[in-house]
Amino acid sequence: MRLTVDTERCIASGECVAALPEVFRQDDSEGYAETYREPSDTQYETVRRAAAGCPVQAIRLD
Amino acid sequence: VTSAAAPYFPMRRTCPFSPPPEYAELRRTAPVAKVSLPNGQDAWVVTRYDDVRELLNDPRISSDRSRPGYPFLTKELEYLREIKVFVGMDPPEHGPHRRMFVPEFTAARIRALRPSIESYVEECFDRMEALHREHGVVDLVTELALPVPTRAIGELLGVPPADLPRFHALTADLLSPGDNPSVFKELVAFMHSLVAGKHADPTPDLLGRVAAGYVATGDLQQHELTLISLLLLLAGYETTANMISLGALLLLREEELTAKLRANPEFAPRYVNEMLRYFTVAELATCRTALADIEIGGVLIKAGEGVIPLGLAADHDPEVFPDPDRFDPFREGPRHLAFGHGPHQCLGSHLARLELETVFAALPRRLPALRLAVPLAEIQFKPETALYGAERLPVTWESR
Repeated sequence: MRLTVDTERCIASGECVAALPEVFRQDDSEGYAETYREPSDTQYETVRRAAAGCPVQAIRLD
Repeated sequence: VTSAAAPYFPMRRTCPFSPPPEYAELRRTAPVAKVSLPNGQDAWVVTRYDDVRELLNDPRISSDRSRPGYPFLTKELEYLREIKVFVGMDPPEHGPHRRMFVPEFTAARIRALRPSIESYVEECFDRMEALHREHGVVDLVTELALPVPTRAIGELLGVPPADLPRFHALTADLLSPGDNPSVFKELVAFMHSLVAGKHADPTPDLLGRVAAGYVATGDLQQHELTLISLLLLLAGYETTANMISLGALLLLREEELTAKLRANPEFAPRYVNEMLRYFTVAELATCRTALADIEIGGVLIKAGEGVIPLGLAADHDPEVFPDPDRFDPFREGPRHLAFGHGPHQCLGSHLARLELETVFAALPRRLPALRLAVPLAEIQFKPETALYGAERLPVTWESR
């Protein structure tokens, strides 16, 4: 599973960070989402929901 | 479809705990339906969750209030045609303007406000107890629902402590302009002088940082920052206030769930999230205009026509939220649309959640015997063309 955040699309809603703070965080200066840890296999379902919950579909799972 | 046959919109809630009854019928029989607005114009309303989400994220719909097809719901709102701030912008203009304010609303930045909001909420309950000792009945709207968001926005913007009483007085008058017809003018003057002060002496708060970062460089005009600070107040004040009064009303109905929250205040985020879905008070804030022909739900929306994706209808779509009119803080489901969706999604959602979570973690503990002081049928609700909420909420309780 490859997880990426499209920072061009991201609007810094923080929804993914709220859904899975173990994997996503908002960068300090601008607030855009980034991943800072690889999701574990057991987090897959939460990652999928965070991607679906993104208001601008900026999270990609390949 | 002829406009004569189009039903009138906005439709009214007949009960504070459920959407307008027409929504369910529309969702079933005409999920994208033409309606007739108070100004005689037609627009499309959209009621299914998937369609609402898809439209709010579709680059072919515009938030620009100056477009002729834009669906205004009241005459009073039409002044927005002339006002150009990020909520009414489309790409490529929208991004850079919104981005000036994004760092001010991140979860981390908002978390820093927690201690002061928590202590302010306790102060509100202290004052309610004092008023109760004196009068027996307290209006929860005046004493809790309105002051909490006012104070939170005041802190966020950077209103100096000495000016807070005036800020509270003006925002309270804003909702009953009958008492002070010049309130809007006075509020504009207040914000104007606040912004001018921040420009001269930038303090570490939203207005100070934006003044130093963008007004000083000429990227943003001082009067634009004044307008945006008013917009942030208008967007964040009555919305949250309505959620506090409606949420309190809901907890009075849900005795068992309230007892559970009293014993487990750490559940407050779940309760608040479900309250947001349940009431979706600001659903009429997401009016749009089609920029191109859009086919959705088996219907062709033509370029130039107004579109109103109904967040409340979406948040009660039984395909997505089973038994949608039941309040269930423990339901699992996709994200609700109370804060909208797409590039214009509410900038202040973390602040709203912080305020609501603080209030509802404290309420069952501070006022365990809370009840309405009048029958529910006597509570006045706001007309459907504004944000949904209670005008007043007279409450009382037996002293322990």
